[in-house]
Amino acid sequence: MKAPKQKFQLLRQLTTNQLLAVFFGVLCLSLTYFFVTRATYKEALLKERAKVMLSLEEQHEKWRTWKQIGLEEVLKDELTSHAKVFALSDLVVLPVADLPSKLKREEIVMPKPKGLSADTLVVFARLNAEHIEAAYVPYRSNLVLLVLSGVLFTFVIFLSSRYIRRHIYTPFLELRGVFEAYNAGREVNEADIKAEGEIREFTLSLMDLYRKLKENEKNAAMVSVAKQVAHDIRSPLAALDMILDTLSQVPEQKRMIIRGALSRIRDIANNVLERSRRSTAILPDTAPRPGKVGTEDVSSHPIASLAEAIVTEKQVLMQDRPDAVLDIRIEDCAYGLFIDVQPNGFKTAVSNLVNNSLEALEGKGRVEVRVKAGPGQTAKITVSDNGRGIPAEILAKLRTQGGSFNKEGGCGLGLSDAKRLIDSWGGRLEMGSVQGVGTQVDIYIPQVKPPRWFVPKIEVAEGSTVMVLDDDPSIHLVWQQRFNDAMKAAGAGIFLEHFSDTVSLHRWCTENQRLMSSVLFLCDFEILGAPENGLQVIRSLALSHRAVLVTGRFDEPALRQECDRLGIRLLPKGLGGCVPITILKRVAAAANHAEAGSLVDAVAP
Amino acid sequence: MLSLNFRLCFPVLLCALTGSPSIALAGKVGFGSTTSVASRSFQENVYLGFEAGMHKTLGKEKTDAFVVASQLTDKSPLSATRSAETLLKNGAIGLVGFPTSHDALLAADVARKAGVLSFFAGAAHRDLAKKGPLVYSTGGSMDSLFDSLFIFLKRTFPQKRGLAVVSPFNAFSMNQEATLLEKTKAPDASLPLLDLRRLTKAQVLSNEDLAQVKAKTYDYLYLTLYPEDLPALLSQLTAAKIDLPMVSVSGADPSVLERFLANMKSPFYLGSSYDPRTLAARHLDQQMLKQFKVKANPELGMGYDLGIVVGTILSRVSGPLTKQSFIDAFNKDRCFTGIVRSVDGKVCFPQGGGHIFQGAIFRRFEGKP
Repeated sequence: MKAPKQKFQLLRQLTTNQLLAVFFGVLCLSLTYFFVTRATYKEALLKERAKVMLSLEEQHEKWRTWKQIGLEEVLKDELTSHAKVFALSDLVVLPVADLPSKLKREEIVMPKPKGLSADTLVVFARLNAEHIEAAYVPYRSNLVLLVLSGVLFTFVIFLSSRYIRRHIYTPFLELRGVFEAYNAGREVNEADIKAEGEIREFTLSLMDLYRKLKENEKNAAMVSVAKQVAHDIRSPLAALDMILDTLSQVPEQKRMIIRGALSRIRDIANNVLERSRRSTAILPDTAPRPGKVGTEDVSSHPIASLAEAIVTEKQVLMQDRPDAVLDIRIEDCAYGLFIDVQPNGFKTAVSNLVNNSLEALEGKGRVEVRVKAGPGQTAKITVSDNGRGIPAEILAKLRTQGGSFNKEGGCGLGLSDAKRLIDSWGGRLEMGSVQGVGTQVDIYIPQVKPPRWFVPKIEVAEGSTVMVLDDDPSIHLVWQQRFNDAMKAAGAGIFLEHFSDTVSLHRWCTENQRLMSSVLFLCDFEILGAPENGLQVIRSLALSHRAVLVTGRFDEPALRQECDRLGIRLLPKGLGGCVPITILKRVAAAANHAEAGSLVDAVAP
Repeated sequence: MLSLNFRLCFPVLLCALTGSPSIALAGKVGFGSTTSVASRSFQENVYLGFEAGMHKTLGKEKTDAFVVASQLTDKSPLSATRSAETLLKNGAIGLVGFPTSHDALLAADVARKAGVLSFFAGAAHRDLAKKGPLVYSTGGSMDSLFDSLFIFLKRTFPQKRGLAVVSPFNAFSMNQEATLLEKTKAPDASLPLLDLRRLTKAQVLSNEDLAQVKAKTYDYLYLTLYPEDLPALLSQLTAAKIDLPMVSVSGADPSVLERFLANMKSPFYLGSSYDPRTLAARHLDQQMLKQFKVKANPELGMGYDLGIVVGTILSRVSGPLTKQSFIDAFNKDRCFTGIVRSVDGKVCFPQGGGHIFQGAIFRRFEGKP
């Protein structure tokens, strides 16, 4: 930016214009005033002259006579009295020779001196201009006020100009210097800004904006790389997704871990993009909406399932740490607890906390993730460890500002990100630690109503048949164990049929047609080696209202929509071990049946 | 009396209506009079006396040939000036008449400026004597009148205190005040006890002065005004039931005051140079009865003496009548005989202008019998 040739050029121009405006304004007004008042005065003078002349016409001979015959006293009295009545400044009888050489407008001579001898007495009267002004042109003196006003305005303009120069113009010039310094790469401190008040705030805001622009420029390259990475990750992810569908030989649990990991990688890539975009954002309307962090939408999820998935994933990763133990404990009451979160965000948050706990272990140690109902309609998840613990002063700082403690390469984002996410879902994070004992993080997230597809409990009538279709033998073991426990608890029996493939299932169903109306069908979604998935099997057997789809892919929106459409309930596979199971005795079953309208009650709403 | 009015009115109307006579006045003496301060009848009496005096010295034909009269009745205070200027403008070689101090003072200035000889009938104002050698009055000066007045007052009101009433609007009155103040400046036991009061603009006494008069602080009133200016004061006194002897030296006929005098018990003394008991006065009386069928009075005597003086001067002029011949004729002999307002019928005018020596005779007019 080039400096103006003349200092304060604009201000000088502005001041000059104002002064010229005031000067010509006052001049025009004064001239108008002057001519108007002069015309008014002239008219008034003529009027007064006529009046005085009329009075003199009546008196002048008498006064001249009195003067001539020596009646000076009475003449003086009468002239004084007359002058007072007509507000004359002068009224005398004198010879023509003593008259002023040139008569003014205010002066009257009676009779007219033309043609009279020098010693002829005449009456000379002088009108009182001040009196006429006061009577007819009372505002004439306002002209002085007008001119004074002009002078005052001029003075005010000078003061304003000085003020503007000091408090506005100079700070702007300094601001120019600041930007030039910025451009030159020099650092400028707030103390260098001499401006005050709004100008200072404005300058600082501009500096801040300019600083952000500079930072954005620096980040631009990084963002570009991040975008490229995110983009590049998506392609191999798609390939992995495709391959995953063909990995029928891989156990389901492992496939679930892989799927979850892929999902989280995808989400991380999306988050990288989002963060990059946000880091370059200047304007506030690009900030994330409340309740939404990252690219995911908020939706209802069973907290136990989410926690169980992340713990399972972590347990796989902990194979190289035999000294560390990671456990999950889902309390009975936690089975039906749903929360509105972004699932991958939730998993990341908990994952970060688990990672923190694992890293806090010194050699042997234990990390436990516990899920249960919290106070005040909240779901609570606790991540605790018996690691080194955190000093109180550090803990206080961590609670308020995030950060990391005693963690090599830690940037402190784990805890703060987790807190930010939890806050965005309306929850809260509490942290407690005792140095040398361990650390515990409690997360409280508001409960929401379970969705329609969710199975809160399983109730089976005594003597009924329960079909279990799953390609994973361990799942069969889980169900066998659960139902055994239930039968033992109820003192009543049921028939439990296990199928690992769809062929044997269909055969059994054909042979036992009469039982089909009262069976409970627990069906997996992905069945290794089967030409059809669990959903297709249920549909082909027309068991929609007696079937529960037990799958780890319960959180896939497409699957949920399809189940909704067919009236099929969903049970997260990881929660198979938690769902409450009850065997109803015949009497109770009948009563229940009467209420439900069916002999075999498989699923309670 | 009808014939008298007619005679006077002709030239008067001529001047008053046209403003300038249609005939040339070369070789004539202009007689001027106005009604500025004195009444029209007063002016007519003076003119009648003047005509009688002119007839006595020149005869009727010559009088008509040498004299033109001008009377302005517009009541303007400057009428005398205008009248005198008009006469001069039309060729008058001398100015005469103007039988009041007011008119005489104005006309005297005109005469002086024009360089014409002037004679004023009976004007007593002392300032006339200051107007130069061309200005004369056929009356005594205020000083001589006051000498007579003081003698009269001392004799008539011994040890009594009188009140002199002055009008500040009247030159004649104010001149009396000046004379009185001047004469009484030094304490003198031979002078009468006279206080001085000025009338208001309405020509009456102020309430304070009236109260003093009513309280009988004064034994008589000395009036310095013309009879024509007295009605307001006399009405005030009558209303206040004040009945004191009154004295005046105006010399005018007090007939205008008859209605007031008729109701007064106290006498009214009028001072004048005219003494009807003198031989000259008796001759005048006979002449007036014979010529104009009127009785002589002080105003006629005033005019008559002027007519005798002017007629005598004109009779001395041998060649053409001019300003200078008129002056020269006067300067040949400044003494004149046949004067009625003189004890011995003779008067002499002083060098350098001014008045003749003349005393006053006080006549007593009785009020209610």
